[in-house]
Amino acid sequence: MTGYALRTQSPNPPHRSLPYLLTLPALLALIGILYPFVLGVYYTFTNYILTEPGNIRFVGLTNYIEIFKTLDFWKAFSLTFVFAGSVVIIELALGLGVALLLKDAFPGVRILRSLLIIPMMIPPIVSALMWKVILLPTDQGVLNHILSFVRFPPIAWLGDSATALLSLIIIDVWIYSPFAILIFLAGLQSLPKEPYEAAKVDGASGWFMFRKLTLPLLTPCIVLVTLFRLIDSLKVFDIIYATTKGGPAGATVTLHIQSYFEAIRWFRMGRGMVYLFVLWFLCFIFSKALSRLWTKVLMR
Amino acid sequence: MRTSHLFIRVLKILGLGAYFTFALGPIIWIAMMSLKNSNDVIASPPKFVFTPTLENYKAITVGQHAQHVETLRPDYPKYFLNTLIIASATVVVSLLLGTFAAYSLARFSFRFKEDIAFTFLSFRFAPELMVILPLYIVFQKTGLNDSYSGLTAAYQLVTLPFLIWVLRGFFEDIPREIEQAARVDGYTWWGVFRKISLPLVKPGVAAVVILSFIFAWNNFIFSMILGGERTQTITLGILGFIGYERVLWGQMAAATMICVIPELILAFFVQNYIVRGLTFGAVKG
Amino acid sequence: MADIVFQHVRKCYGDHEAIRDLSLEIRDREFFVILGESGAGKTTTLKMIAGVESVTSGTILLNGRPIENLTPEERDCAMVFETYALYPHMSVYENIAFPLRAPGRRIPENQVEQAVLRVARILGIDPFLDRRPAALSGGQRQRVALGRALVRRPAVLLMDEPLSHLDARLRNEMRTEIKAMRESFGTTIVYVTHDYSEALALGDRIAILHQGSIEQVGTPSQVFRRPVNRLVAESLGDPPMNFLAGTIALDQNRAVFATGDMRIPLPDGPRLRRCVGKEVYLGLRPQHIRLERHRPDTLFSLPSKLFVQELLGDHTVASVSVKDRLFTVLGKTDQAYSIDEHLYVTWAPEHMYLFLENTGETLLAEGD
Repeated sequence: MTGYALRTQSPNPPHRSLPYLLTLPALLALIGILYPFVLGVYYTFTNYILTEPGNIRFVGLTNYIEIFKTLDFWKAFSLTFVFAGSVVIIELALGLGVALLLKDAFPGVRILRSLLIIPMMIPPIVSALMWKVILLPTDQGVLNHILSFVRFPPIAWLGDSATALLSLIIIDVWIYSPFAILIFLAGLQSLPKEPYEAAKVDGASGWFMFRKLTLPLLTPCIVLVTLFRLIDSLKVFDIIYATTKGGPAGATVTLHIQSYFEAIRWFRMGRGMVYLFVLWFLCFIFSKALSRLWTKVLMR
Repeated sequence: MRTSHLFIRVLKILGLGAYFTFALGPIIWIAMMSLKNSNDVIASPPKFVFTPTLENYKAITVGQHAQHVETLRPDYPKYFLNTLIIASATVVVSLLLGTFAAYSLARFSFRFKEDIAFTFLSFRFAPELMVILPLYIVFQKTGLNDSYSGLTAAYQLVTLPFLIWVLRGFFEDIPREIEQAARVDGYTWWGVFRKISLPLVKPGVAAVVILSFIFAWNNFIFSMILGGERTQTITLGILGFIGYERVLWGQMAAATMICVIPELILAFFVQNYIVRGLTFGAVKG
Repeated sequence: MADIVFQHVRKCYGDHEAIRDLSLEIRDREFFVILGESGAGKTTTLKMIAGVESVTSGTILLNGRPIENLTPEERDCAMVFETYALYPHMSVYENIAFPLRAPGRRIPENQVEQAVLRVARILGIDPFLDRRPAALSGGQRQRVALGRALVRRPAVLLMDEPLSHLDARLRNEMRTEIKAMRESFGTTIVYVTHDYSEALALGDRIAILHQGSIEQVGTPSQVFRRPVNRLVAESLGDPPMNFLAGTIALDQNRAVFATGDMRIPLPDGPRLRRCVGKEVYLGLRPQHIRLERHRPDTLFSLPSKLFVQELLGDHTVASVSVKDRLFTVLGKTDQAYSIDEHLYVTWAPEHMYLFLENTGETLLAEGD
């Protein structure tokens, strides 16, 4: 054979098993994670107490029924949603707002961007501790001190059940609004110019263009931010653990935190897993719904 | 007309200024706190002017303190090291496992492909304790509690789904014909992967590696429950400064700064990669 | 240096049958062109030879050996992709050297360098050897793609519409160059295009592919002068052939083409006699028709009315309505006619085509 032909020639069936081989290692990791998950679901149907590991008994739906009857469960349930809902709305608005301000390129954008992502890079638990210091009650906290300059009385941010949840919302917004800002900034920078030029020629006002052009074109960004922030805030943990640990008087108990108490503080593993399963279920349906919405929005 | 333009400009700058004060103020405050001596630190009302001192940093790294007897955490460097080891190991393992999985999902079609892909992604959305608590039991029985390998394995939940999702997108962006050309040129799928596909996703890999490292570094809940004395990470260590009777504010602030400074440096130099990795989903459409 | 045989090859994408029952013989060292419009299956056929697409059923033989189960790297084919598919992260030199550096070939580096430089010089791209593809123009990229394919002297060279993304002038230049190059490289070439003039200019033989099946295989002259059906006749020629509907009738025991009250005599023959009464199409190429102001003294003419005329400098294109159809006429005359003027179209009998309406089969072709 002339030319630089391969010197090895062997009949070769197409590698049908190759894709499976490649995904195998990751699949194993998957199984490694699914196993504790399934185990956890199993525990919801037992009366597993951590300090008495030998005494596991299958109790069917007892845990579920007991828990669904308590007020504490429903309080945690609603608090979870209130927190998540507030945080998502604020971060969407703040994200879009700051992105609009940053959109017009000016010198120093690069520096601003690196400053922007700093809150996101710090471990959330560390940020929460930082804020704990700033939100100290009475005059010791720096925020109260600053507010006193405008005649505000000192507020016990994390110590008062009326303001505790609000404080947590502030902390979450502080940490994660850069995420929304970045996404919206990227979205804004990739908007096509032509529709706007055509609208201006037709005499459209800025507000009109925003409502009819910008917002619809930014829908993928909105869905993306909502998807990640909603799910992540439903299962928030670090922030609450570092500051209020569910207090004061249960004002900041979410499903995730309550599960921690049940399992780690009171050793009631079975019940703890029930809270987690409910939370998991919520996260699952929302993530599936929003993912589907995301692909639908992308198709347009 | 000109004045309203200027007015809007001023408003914009004020708005940005307000936001950045909000965003960076707390950090600057903590930085100041880390440089205050133990009296200034708990001063009420808080002091904005003070004489800085490095005694907090010395306390947590070397164990010396001028005034206070309690220097609680001379192991802080150890925590730093632990976090470094675990985060790095996690990322390396995720890369090894995830790159192949991502390529397979991007290029081949096989049964259950989208189901597998969605399952990977869904781990990102699961409440951590749901996996960690049963895993704690499993680790207890197998002795993996408080071990580097156990934690690295568990941390995969934090990094692997994200890595697979992002890298899959990057692999899909490579035009098929380029890989086909390489095969016609005489390379096996492995040769194509090594010489064509991997080099072409290098920027994506860089972005994902940096972000995964940050996610692993920042994690708290895994280390709290599945870790222990030996493998205590920085995030856990900082909590230790807050006890029931007293809080070592100054040292805690110094610990925070040490935890945070590497990430700040990273933020400045590789912010392109970080931003690219995070906004990957948004501009894909 | 290879002949290729397709035996009853079928290719399905799910339920969609892209290629049906393809049987073809490509001879050693032949410049074989596959002509078809987009979606006809040309690229698929090429990729099946290369091994980049799998064969659903059937066999492909290369020099008598079945290759449909071989992986691409085991076949001795090289391909120039329509999108060029250059490696963006490599320089031009590395792009061309890449096939030679494949592990299976074990070619020492100095030989690689020689081969690359030689090919680069022939194609005129040696000034760009250390540039990246992004820094090259379309024409330069195309040459690099060509170089990458030719550098390893493959047994078979596959080209997928290599000229379609070039501007008109470059296209003509490259066409001539490819034809010239073909002589010096001596490989079997399978060339795919939708441009019929490329096909006629370059091919030793042409295969017309339509919706996954081959309509006709033949030399350029054969497929142009004697198309086997109406489809082939229509795809070759610009402006395309004109058609007029009618039937075959008997007029004084002679076969004629009848439409309305016009009768055009047809040559005698048993085949035409058998088709009496059938619906047919009369086919005339634009360049074979002449326009006359006064009724010509021949039976091979039809009355018409001018619709529009374009004077294009050295030739004219006229649209005339014949019966209810618009005929395109190409002419060299600079005779200007006025709109709605009554004219006669006339032609020589040997340029007349006749096609069956239902199957498209040719009943009469040039030279009959």
